[in-house]
Amino acid sequence: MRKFIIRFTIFALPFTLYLVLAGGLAIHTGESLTFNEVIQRQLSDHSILFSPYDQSASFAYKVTYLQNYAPEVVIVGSSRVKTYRGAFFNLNPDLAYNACGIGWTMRNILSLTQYMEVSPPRVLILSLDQQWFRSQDSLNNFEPFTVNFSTLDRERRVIGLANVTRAVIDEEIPLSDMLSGNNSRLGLTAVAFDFGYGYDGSHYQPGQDIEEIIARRERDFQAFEAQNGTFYSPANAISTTNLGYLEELLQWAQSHDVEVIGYFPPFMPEIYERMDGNEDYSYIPQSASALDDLFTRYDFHFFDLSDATESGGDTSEMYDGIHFSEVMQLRLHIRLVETLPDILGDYADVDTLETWLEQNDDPFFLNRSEP
Amino acid sequence: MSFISFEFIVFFAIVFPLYFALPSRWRLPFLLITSYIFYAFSRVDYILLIAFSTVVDYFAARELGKTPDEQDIKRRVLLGISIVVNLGVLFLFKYFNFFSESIFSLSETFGFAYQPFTHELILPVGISFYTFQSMAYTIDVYRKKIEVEEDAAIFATYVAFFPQLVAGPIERAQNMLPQFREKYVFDYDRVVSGFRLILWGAFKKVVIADRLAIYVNTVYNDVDSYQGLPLIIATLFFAFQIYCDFSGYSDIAIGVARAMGFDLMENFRQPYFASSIRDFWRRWHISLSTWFRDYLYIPLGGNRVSFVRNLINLMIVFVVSGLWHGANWTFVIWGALHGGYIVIETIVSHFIGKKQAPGYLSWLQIPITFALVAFAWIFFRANSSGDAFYVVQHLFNFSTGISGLTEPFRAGYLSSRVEFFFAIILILSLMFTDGLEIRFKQNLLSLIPWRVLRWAVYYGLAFLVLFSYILYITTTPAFIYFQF
Repeated sequence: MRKFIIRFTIFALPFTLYLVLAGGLAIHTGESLTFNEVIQRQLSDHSILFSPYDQSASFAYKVTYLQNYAPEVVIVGSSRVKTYRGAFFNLNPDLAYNACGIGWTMRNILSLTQYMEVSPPRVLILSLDQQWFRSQDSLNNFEPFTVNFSTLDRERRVIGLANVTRAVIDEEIPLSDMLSGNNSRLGLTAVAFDFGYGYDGSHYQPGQDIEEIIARRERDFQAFEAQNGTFYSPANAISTTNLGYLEELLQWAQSHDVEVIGYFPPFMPEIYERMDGNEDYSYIPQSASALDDLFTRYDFHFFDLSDATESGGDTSEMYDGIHFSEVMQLRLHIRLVETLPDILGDYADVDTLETWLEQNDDPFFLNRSEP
Repeated sequence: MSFISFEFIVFFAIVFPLYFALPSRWRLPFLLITSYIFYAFSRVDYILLIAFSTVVDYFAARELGKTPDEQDIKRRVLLGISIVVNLGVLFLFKYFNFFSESIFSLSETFGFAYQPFTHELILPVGISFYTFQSMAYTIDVYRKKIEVEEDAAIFATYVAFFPQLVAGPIERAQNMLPQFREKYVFDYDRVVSGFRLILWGAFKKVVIADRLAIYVNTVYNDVDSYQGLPLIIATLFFAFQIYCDFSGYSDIAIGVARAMGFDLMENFRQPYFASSIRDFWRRWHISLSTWFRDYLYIPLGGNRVSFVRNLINLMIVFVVSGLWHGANWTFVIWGALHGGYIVIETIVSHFIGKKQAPGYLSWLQIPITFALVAFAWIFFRANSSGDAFYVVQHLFNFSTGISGLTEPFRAGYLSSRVEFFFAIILILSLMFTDGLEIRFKQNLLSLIPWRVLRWAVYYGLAFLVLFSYILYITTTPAFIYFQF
């Protein structure tokens, strides 16, 4: 037996070393934490941001919160709603949660309902990307994410290890960043790039370079001019499939006494100006009208907020052609609260929120002490 | 618990040395407890199901042993209890919804629509394997092929023995029960041989099967988007994926058991070198094929009946075998296809005799058999019978040529082209090693002559396994939105 033990130990040594090193880094960076552990840490320290290396994990992360903490107000949408802060529900910020995610589609949003079945929210705010309702949306081909809670925690431990390895091989994240770590950042992406999801589920990315933002706006404008990219492809018919998914969602909400507020988020004003009234993009007014009818049929509310200027915003509050700052998001939020005081008045005090806007001189961040 | 998991590495790293460190008398209860712990990782409450099967068969067999031949009715009742309980549990968890929905569809066709009753019970892992193994013991006791096992711990360990609990091989009592009585000492060569098999099995599963699965899943989960070559390649890849997946798993099971001193039966014997479908079933999932032979085909009368009845028996066995693999019409069709192949082979050999094919034709038998087997895999893999028939209809539509042939590998870690060629090289290497194993009748790893070379190969395989596992565990289709 001794001979076997010696030889096996020699054989296993490099693998053990690797596992110890990669495992150590995964623990050090928070990459191998379970979502429950991440959420608990974030709730006890609001300055913690979380962003793992595998971005597709955001669905499971958000769903874990929805299941375990049952917020009263849930905000759902793609990355375009990522700056909708829990703090905007200033009368009781802890009751609101932003379940937005990168790469989400209408089908993903519909699939969220199964995780809210036991404790549905009182209010569901849906940020609905215009292009979801464009006919032949290529994103429809993607299967919705699924979460297996029975194996999720164990998987996160292993995936943490795997992500550290991938990050090193891909040369995406320098080893020095991993080693230095950061107490208020959990997950490799958060550690390396200093952004991630906050305790309220919204996404924080402080310290962005204004030159880069301007370049992104320009890039998106060019993409629009060339009529390409996911968001700028023209269409003059709407997707009945996604309307069907949305109707299914509204039916679920109605049967669970959930109030639904839907809206189209704004484009960069220069882009929307050219889309508005343009036959090539007639799917936008068509789908706005179809959505308005659909929401009204179920006694819910829909707003077409595609035009940022109508809400008092401008290009300076845009990160690119479709993503916007928390300042712009607050403008949209105020419009919703003002129009629907019966639903949102319990959670937000418009006067205070307007003071925030008035006292603010930064197009991207409000003067609040947040992560 | 899957063999391919960190949990299993930790589990085995604890169980293996402890097993040999314990005094002999403690090893059996230790094996039983660890086997139940192993099963509990999939779902704790389903331990009760194995325990239930074990208790029923233990007492049924004990009573059978005490009951004299003259009391034939009592003996039959006892056997019936064992079969009904085992098949009942299997039916409830695996087939109830399928039959309920099928009856509903049938009734709808005749205009008697009703609300089908279905349940949402999760299928217990390994249930098809351990119920068959446990039931076979009672049948063997009934047939007096084996003595009754009076030691409840030995019998319970036989049913739940962790290396083969989840996916076989489906062992026979006469092979396994005596082994639990033996006192094993640590045998270096045996342990090394077991670990070697574990490594080879892991390589087949993680490096080959899981890589091919990327292509196969992409195509078969969206068949409507493909025609011609990608469908052919995906089907061929699936043939090797399922072979490497299942034989890899069997290798690990046999290797783990061997390292601990137990001999499990061989489950795969280079099946894609079979020269006929009958030969294929002598090489593929041998423990199941022989189970069906011994406990279904022979009781039906086997070939000791009229020629036509024999053909019917063959067909029944293969359709039931298809259903055993899964509660879906696709599996039934798959089984029926193999049944059809065998029936045709039997008819042909009946009329022309068992003549050896002429030399210039005999070399064609292997690729023809492989093509027939691969064709049947379409039904095994397809998500629905509709998808399977779509694949069959569009298999030879080459209008798109070779464009996009490697594209289904887009979710791979390397570029799709590199993944594609890597997959081809792996398949060719596998066939080469299988061919050598036929010639040398041994696992190839044990034939490597020099220690340095042997260790280099071990390291190479182990690194490939580890990094394939690590790098592919997080592989998800590239999402357009990720750029934001």
